[in-house]
Amino acid sequence: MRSPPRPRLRAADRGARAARIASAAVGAPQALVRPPNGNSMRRRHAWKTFFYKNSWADEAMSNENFEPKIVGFLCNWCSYRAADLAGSARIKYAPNVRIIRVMCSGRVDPSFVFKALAQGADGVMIAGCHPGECHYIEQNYKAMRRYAMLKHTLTAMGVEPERVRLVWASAAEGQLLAEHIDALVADVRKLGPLCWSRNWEESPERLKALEEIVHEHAEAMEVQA
Amino acid sequence: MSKGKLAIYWAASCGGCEIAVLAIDEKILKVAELFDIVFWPCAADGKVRDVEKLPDGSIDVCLFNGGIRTSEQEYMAQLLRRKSKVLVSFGSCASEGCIPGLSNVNTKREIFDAVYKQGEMTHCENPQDLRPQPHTKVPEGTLYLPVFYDTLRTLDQTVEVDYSLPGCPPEAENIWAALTAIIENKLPPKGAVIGRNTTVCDECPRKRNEKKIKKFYRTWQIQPDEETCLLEQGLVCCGVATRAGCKALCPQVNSPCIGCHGANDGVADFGARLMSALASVIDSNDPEEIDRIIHEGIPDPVGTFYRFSLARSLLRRSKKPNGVEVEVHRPAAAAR
Repeated sequence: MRSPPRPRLRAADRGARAARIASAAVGAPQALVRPPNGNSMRRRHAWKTFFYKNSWADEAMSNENFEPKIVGFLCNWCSYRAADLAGSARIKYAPNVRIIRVMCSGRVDPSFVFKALAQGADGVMIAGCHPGECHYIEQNYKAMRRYAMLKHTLTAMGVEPERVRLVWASAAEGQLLAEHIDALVADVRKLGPLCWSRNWEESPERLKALEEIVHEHAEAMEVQA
Repeated sequence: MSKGKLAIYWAASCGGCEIAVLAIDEKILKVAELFDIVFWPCAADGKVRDVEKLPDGSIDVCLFNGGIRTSEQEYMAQLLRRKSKVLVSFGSCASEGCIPGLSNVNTKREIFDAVYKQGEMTHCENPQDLRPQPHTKVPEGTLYLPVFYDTLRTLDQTVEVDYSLPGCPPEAENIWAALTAIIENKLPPKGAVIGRNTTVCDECPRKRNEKKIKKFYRTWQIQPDEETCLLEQGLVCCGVATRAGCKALCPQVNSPCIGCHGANDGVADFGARLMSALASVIDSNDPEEIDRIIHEGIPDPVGTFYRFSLARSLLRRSKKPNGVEVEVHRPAAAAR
């Protein structure tokens, strides 16, 4: 059975509605979060989103079953091949790292790292060729300098610098890369979840105050002529 | 032709944007000719109640300056969004947080401690350690104060914004260009930043060579040469990442760009772009030396890279020490 269609909102209302939804998401008590029902494709998608969102939240809340999410930016010419080698040589390493292949470690802009951390990663690994062995002559030196700059800023922002790591691994060093990954995962596991978006939350007082303004204006501002 | 309706509002900002509107000189008369000013608390009498009574979408243009720091400001942003056809985030504060946004390195508690506690920074008489409360009961009823947020948000993180006008404050020329576009109904696509799409370096007349620096200087440490690129001389000039439109005012008077026009198109994070650019000109391949150059030359990375754009950056704020802090109600009786 189809559920009745949602009323269309006027364009002017959408902003306010989005704000309300955002507000609700911040302060909603757990009991109000219900899984979606129904079985259409859209509902199925909603289920999936609900499941991942909530499992992420639960996971992040308790340190016991915490599995760090690591994003790895691996250079195409050395480190990505090292990861390939680790795979074909059946070297075991922690499965927590999500590898993104970039052409060079010098391609990794600090904004990639910020984006990863802001969107839920607990740690970031940047891996490239050893100094002096860059496919693009000296771009890994740039990566080295950017990494130093990035760490300086991250420390000032309150992020533990151990969460972001720059490592060198040549195409022959599958074992070394695996060890680096294991070490990073172990360190991040010790540090616990980052959950950056929780830093943006406001106290539940905010929603209450927003509602009160409306009442207050309605009550107090009418002055009889 | 019936007149349009114009509103100008001021949230968490210094008020410079309000004055910048007047920098369009005699053209302000043209604005007065074409628009009725329905709401501009800084310059004209008007009450929130009057705005609340307007039909939705009845204000043609609202220029909103300032970030969102308190519940009252958030309410006004939502109200003006509902009442306005076109909402322009006006100036750096509304678009990217600006200087008030730098307080995102602190929490509400830390800010209140600095302001209301007797300490080295302020010398206020507050022996009972009182703090402003959202509610105060008095015999006549309840008094309300807005709730102060931990994190300052930009206008577009709060409500949907149609256009933004960069600058701290926006240049008169750009303000007029935006108003003309609105008057003539030649608006760019929704969401656009009204301004140039290039960097300050493009407008800067200084000579540029290959950049290689061994040391970052702060402005008071050297007297820079007037002809050569300031970044080449080791000054942290933000021109490489900053949107053009100011005609490189600061570099022209021998002072480095501080980035008030915000990020250029396609830049996700102003500070990251700047970090990336500055790091690549450091003339060293030795990790220890690189660290020394950075730590000595840039003692305050957040203030340097995110002076105007911390609230807009990808991380938005520094890490809170204990997650979300819940306000504890104190009995109002203690206040007497």
